[in-house]
Amino acid sequence: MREASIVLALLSVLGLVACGGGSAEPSSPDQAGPARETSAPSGPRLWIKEGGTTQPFDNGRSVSIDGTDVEIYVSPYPPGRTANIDFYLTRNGQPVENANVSLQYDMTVMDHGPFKLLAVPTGRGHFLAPVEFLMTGDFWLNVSLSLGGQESVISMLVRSER
Amino acid sequence: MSMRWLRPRIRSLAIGAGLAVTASFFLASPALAHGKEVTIKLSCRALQASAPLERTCLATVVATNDGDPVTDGRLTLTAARPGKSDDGLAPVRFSPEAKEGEYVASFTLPAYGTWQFRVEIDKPAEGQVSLEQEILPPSGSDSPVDQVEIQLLRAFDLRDVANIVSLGLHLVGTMVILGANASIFVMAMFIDGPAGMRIRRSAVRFFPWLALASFALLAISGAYNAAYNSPSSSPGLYTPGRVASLPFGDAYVATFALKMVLAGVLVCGTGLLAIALQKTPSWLALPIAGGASLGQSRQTERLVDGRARRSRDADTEATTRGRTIAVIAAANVLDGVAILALVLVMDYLHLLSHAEALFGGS
Repeated sequence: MREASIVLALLSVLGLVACGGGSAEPSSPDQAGPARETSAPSGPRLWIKEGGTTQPFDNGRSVSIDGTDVEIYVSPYPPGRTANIDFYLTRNGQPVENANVSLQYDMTVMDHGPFKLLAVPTGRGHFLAPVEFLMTGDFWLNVSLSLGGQESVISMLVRSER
Repeated sequence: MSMRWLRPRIRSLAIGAGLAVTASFFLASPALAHGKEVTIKLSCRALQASAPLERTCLATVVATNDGDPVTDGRLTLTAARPGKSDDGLAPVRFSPEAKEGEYVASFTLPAYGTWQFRVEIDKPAEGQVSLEQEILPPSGSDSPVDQVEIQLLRAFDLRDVANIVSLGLHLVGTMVILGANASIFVMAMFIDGPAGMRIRRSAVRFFPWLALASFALLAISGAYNAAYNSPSSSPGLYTPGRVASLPFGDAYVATFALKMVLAGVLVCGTGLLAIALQKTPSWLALPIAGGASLGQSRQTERLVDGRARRSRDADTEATTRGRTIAVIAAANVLDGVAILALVLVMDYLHLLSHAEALFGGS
């Protein structure tokens, strides 16, 4: 009888432990990425991580990194399951030709990759990256700029939709 | 006479007045040139959809009053992106086309974005016309890049090994606990006699520890699987909101919650079964020589009248407890089967969440 009571108590504890995984509090959407705005289809689709915070990013806006201005255009916009992302690199107003632009990306809430692709230089400082997002949802993108032996990384979030 | 003299004078005056008006008209035309109203139609497009930055603008200039093409126009195009700090496009001069009144200018824009084109005419009139266009990088079938090498960086590593091992341990734990409950059910229903008694006694002794070990295994592997073997990346089901944000994620989370409730019921049911086994004499007692049960041998010391009655009561109680054990064990097995069914549902929902990627979306 005493043995059974001990076993029952242990089983109860184990039951609580086993159930613990399912009773965790829902996380803030910010943990996974930008907040969802299902009721506002015209809301932002791009975000950029600057200084540890994630901020909405207008399509076509420039970001300055290590002396290089990078203008980022996503087409089509809003991005669908596939999108071409153009990176326009300039330094002191002049196009930067001799650079390498590569992307690593994956979904924020599901692991499919990550995937890596090299953006194709299309001339006059433009580098085009055809990205296939696989699913609709939020994707993180790490854009690596390799220029003159120096590598810089831009962290972005893109929400693909149908 | 006088009339004859007068008529040539009047005719001369009329001719002279007519010449004067005509002369004043032609003389006045250069002066009016600054005020001459012309209509400019402007259209700009890319000749190749794959190169939207390389554009050609066509300007058609006609006189507003009569629609006649203006052949000697001098037109200049400038372009800038409102809100951008760059210099925009250097002025481009239009060239006349073969068709009268049409002028063309070709140029390459430095960047994508919203461009405001402005065409100015300074001959034969002064004026301007503006056109705003949003020029985005080519995409889809217009994309100049039809092939790109995408590299999958994921490799089979220790994490994958751990994931598989954890799933395997969870499966083993499930099989053991369901097997233990099913064995108790079979013993309670179908195994009888002295040989059965020994097996039952062993079951009573080992069942609680086996159940405990199984649940420990299930708890540890389940806690790991919730983080690393769920539809969403780590921390997986510990952040249900992320899972719920996936296609069919709400249904997945609801199914998982139901599974955990049933798992809790299984834990409780198994504990109840362990207690019931400890309380049931027919599962504890060893058979004695002659085939009588321990309870029956004690009762032989009692009075004859009460002996049969008490014996019947003990048998009834033992039978009832035996049935209770069978019922609890059967309920636990059914609960376990329901959990397995929910696992299949969860796997299917996980598959559905990828259906978009597998079958495409419109």
